[in-house]
Parts: sequence; structure tokens; C-alpha cells
Amino acid sequence: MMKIDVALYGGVARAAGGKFVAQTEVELPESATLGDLFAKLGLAETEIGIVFVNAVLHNLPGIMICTEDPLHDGDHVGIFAIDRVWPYQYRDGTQMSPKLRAYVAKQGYLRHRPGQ
Amino acid sequence: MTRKILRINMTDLTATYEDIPEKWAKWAGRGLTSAIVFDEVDPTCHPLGPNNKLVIAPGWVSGTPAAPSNGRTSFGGKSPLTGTIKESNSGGLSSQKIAKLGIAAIIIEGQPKDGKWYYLFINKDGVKFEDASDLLGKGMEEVDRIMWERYDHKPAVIGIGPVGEILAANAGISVNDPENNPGRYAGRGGLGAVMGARHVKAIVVDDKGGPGVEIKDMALFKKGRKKLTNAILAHDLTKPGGGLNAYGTDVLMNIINEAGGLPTRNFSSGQFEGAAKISGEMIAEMVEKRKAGMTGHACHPGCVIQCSNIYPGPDGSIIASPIEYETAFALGANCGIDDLDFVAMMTKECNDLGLDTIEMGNTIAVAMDGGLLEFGDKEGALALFDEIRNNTPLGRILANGVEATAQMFGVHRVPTVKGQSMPAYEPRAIKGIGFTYATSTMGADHTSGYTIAPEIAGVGGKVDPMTYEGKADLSLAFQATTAFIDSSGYCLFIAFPILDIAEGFEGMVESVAGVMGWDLKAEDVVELGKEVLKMERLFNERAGFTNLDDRLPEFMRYEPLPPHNVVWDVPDEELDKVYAWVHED
Repeated sequence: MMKIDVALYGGVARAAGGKFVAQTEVELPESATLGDLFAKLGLAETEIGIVFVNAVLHNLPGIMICTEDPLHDGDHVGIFAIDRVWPYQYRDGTQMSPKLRAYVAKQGYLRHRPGQ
Repeated sequence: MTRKILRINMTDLTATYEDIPEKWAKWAGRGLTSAIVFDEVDPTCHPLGPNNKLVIAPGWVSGTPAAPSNGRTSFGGKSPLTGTIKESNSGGLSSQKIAKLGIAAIIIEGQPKDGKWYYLFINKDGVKFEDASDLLGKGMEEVDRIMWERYDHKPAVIGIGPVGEILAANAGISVNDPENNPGRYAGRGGLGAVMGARHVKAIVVDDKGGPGVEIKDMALFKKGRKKLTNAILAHDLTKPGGGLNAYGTDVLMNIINEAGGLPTRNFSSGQFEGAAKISGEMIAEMVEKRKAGMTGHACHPGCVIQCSNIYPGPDGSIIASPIEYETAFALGANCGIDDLDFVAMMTKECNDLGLDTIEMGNTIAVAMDGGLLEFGDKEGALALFDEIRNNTPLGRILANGVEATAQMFGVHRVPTVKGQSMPAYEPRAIKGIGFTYATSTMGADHTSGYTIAPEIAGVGGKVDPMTYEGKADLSLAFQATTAFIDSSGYCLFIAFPILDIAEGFEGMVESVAGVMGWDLKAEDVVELGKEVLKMERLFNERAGFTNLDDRLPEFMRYEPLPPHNVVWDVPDEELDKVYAWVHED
């Protein structure tokens, strides 16, 4: 089993007993993915926006392209409710997963929700 | 009825209403303050000397009926902090009231021959110069309270705290909010010292009976107003109950921290272990738990976004308003302090003394780096405000900001550009913001480069976020758009909905066009913004600034920032492209 440190912000915090912000540790089988983590937390993909794994951006509001991304023992995952703000000028040049980077290079990145 | 320039001469204590000259007729807000400073202030003057001026201007739509979130007042002059031109704008009560008196701009020039201090009372009948000797040394909380006792109609109170009186380079200009708290600040760049150098402690504005704002094409204005309002109310970030409304700007704290871009302990790390404790989510939790204060507070009448807050203490009494993301970063994470109550108490001190919270928090962080205090020493940090209030030598150093303090404490890690310290986004981790910090005419400033729709920015929306290709053009388009919005009187946060909702952008343009009687197109926004930037850039050049000043501090080029362990590696020639057009035809 792997241990994943999870921080939840906004409405999704209820998955760990919080209202606004919550932190929890989740055990998952080896080779589990972010999608498995969301399922274990009882979160619908439609309520998830920004997702980080170890300070690397894996997802943005309005898309859901990170569910297949693998997790590793000891990872820190930050999950934000879909209504969370991150204007372009304050995220331009941050580190992204290869999959997200390829997506926004194709779909555009300036808008709050890529491809909008 | 045409707009007038109100020129206040403090040397001979006269006030004259002048017709607005043709060369300034199209400008308002930042465009007008920068045009007047460009035309009337010698770029080589000392900012605190007799030849600098303080210019105050509401925006194009300020004071118009029900234009959404139009509450910004622009303040301009030569900055004592940066030595550049400066425009700093604030929410609060002032812009709508100045505009409704038919005033396009207030120019304050000269210095009293008798060395006395004055406050100004402005209403429909003119200007009164009143003795301010009983206000000297008083904080802005008391000044605001006294003015509302002294005058009817809940006037706007623009004022400086004790640090403005000692002409400190980190003195901001306070504007009261609808509850008459002094939390709205034209904080950046030390314009409070420019006001203090004119010996003006406060400006009270009562618009009762004023002529109001002329709207040349009411139908177009109303059409634009409706579109813009609808966009604000529909967008995820700005709608009622959306991220900004529910949690305030501090909703960014956890996001930027998770990304590894939260400047921590004087810009030595990109993550702070205590970030969640000083985040917008925690503000909301405290408001709920303590059954006092509020989120979703409006900083001026007519705001539909309402991103401000009123923060309560453990006993339910109010500590301060507002706690912004920038405030919580500077006085919190960057000082290693994870206690929101202490962040709030320091914010209260800043608001009362008249200090910009960003510069002040960064100043404490630099002093901590220099050994004055340990990082995380919240009691020690709070006690530093007593040094400032008591006007001790240490207090005077701290009130002059990051660079002055870094020099006194032998610190090489100085997070400034052109003398102004950086806001809450680490440019080593979030490289795009570094273009704006480096090249802005204002020094390191997070509000000088807001996003514009890709089709209007001319970048097609598919900029590769991991290369520098096209970034200079993009940064210029952002800075130009921001200069336009800063001229409008609208809050910069309308930039979020007008980026994503095309009708919202049209609405902003049409509402401005309606007020001014213009045939204004979307593409004119960037061009008008560039005219403002050009004046500002040329002023700075004539003050002695070159492209070598458009650089981030050296330590960012060689100190890797955890957790990504990245340095600032954008080539200088990429930065130089941003303003290369200024001397081209």
C-alpha cells in the first residue's frame, strides 16, 4: 500500500471532514492513480478544478485530464474545488505535468478554463 | 457641464477650477494622472521637494449611475520609493464623490510658506483650507472618525497617517470605506509622502449637491453597463458566492503555495508550511466560528464583486479590514508567521499608521533576514510597529521600506525592482509574472499586467506556457490593457469576466464610450493603454532609468528556489523587447 498526503480546499474539503480546508492521509494500492484517489475520497470529477501533485500542476477547472496520472508512495496531492481562482498572469510559467502542458499548448492557456 | 481640473496651490493657499486642456481631455484615472505628471513634473525633481505634485483622478465611469464595481481613485506623482512615475489606485468612497463634483483631477502643488499643516474640505461650493494642527500625529482610524463627526453626508476621507507626515518612502494614501474604516489604500510607491510634502494631512470630499457626471450617450452607456454587470455576475470568479466573493483575494494563498510560488521567509522558499492557516479559507472559517466580521464585503458603494472582508478577533471585536492575499503573504508567509490574528493586528497597524502592507511585510522579512528578529517571531514583528509609531530611528528605517532596511541590516537578498518590493508571486517559480515585475513602469507590481482576451492581445491564445516566445508581446498587451482599466475607474477585477466573456469586454468598452461620447472599438483598448505606458516610460527615461533597471534582483539568478529549485533564467534581451516599441514610429 502507498500513503498519500492530501490537502483539500473549498467544498471538496468535506471529503476529509472539513468545511473550507482539510488535510488527510489516504492509503491506496500500489499503481493507484489520481482517479483512484478521487474515488476513494468520494469526490465527483465535476467538482474538482485545480490539482497539484508535489507542486506540479496536473489539472485546471473545466477539464479533467489527470485521472490516469499515477501516484507514488509519499506524494502530496492538493485538490481545489472547481470554483477556485487562478488567473493566467499568476500561473504563467508554473510547472505542469507533461499531459497538461500538451493540452494547454493545443487548447490555449490564457483563459480561466482552457479551451474556453 | 464639462469636467474641470481643480488646481490646489499650497504655497499661496489658492484653489482654481480650470478648463481641461485639449491634450488631457480624453484621459481619466491613471491616464490623466500620468499625463499631468508627464507634462507638469520635472522627472529629475526630488519627490519630496517643492516641484513634485500629487494628482488625484477618478476614472471615466466613476460616479456614473450603477456602473458595476466603479470605485477606483488614481493617485499619481513621482515616487519617493522608486524615483519613477507612480500611479497607485484605491477603492473606497473618493472616486465617485470627486467625479460627481464635476472634477476630472485634483492637482496639489507647492508647499505652505508658513510651514503649517492643512486639511482640505471640498464640496460643491469650492475648497476650504483648514488648520490640521489638531490632527498631526493621529492615525487614520481617528482622522476618519473625526471627519465624519465634523462633516455631514458621510464624506470621503483621503488621508495620510503619521508615516506620511514624516515623509517616509513607504507612506500610502488611505481612503475610507463605506463603514468609515481606513483600509482602502493607494499603498504602493510612497505617494503618502508626496502628499505629506505638500503639508496636506487629509482631503475631505462631500459631493452633496454636485453637478454629477455627464454621460454623452446614455443609451450606449446603459447597454454597456448591463453587459458588463451580467458578465461579472455570471463568471466563476466574480459571481455572488464565487471564489473572490466567498474567500476574498486570499483564496489564492493555498493555490500559490501548492504551486511552489509563495514567497516565504524573505523569498528564500516557494512554500510555507503554515499557508493554510493564513488563507482565505481560514478567514471564512474565523468569521463563521467567531460569529463576527464578514466576507463578501464591498469596499465601495455599488461593487457587485464584493471581495473584501472584515476580520474578527477571538472575542468577536473587529481587528482589521481587509485581509488581502498580498497582506497575508507579506505579513504572514514572508515573515514565517502563520497566525492570522497577528496578520490582522499588523494590518490594523499599517492601515492606521499609513503603511503599504506589501512593502511593510517585506521590510520586516528583510529585517528578519538581517538578524533583527527570528523568522516567525510574531510578537516581535508586531512590536516593530511601536517603533514606527514612536518615531524611533529604527522605526524611521522600517517606514522607508525594503531597500532602506536591507542596506541598514546588510542583507543582499533584496526582492525589489526599481526600489519597490515584490508582491506574492515568486518569479522564479511563476516566470510569466517576472516579465511584468521587471518591465513595469511602476517597479515590481502585480497589478500592472492583467490578462486580456487572446484575440484582442493578438496572440491567438495558444502561447506555450513553457517558452519565452511571444511573452514580451503578451506582457505589453497585458500592461496596456491594465493601463486602460486603471483609467476607467473600474476595479481591475472586472478583468476576469471580460477575459472569458466577450460580451463583458464589449460592455466595458461601450460603457466608457457612452460616457465620453466616443466611437471606441475593442482594439482601441490596447492602443490607448500603450499611450499611457509611453508617457510613463518616457518620464522614467528622463528621470534616468534605462533598460538595465528592467531586471529582477541578482540573487534570483543564482539562488535556487525550493521546492522546484529553479532560478530566474529569462534572458535580458527578452525583457528588453517589452518596451522596444517606445522609440519606434
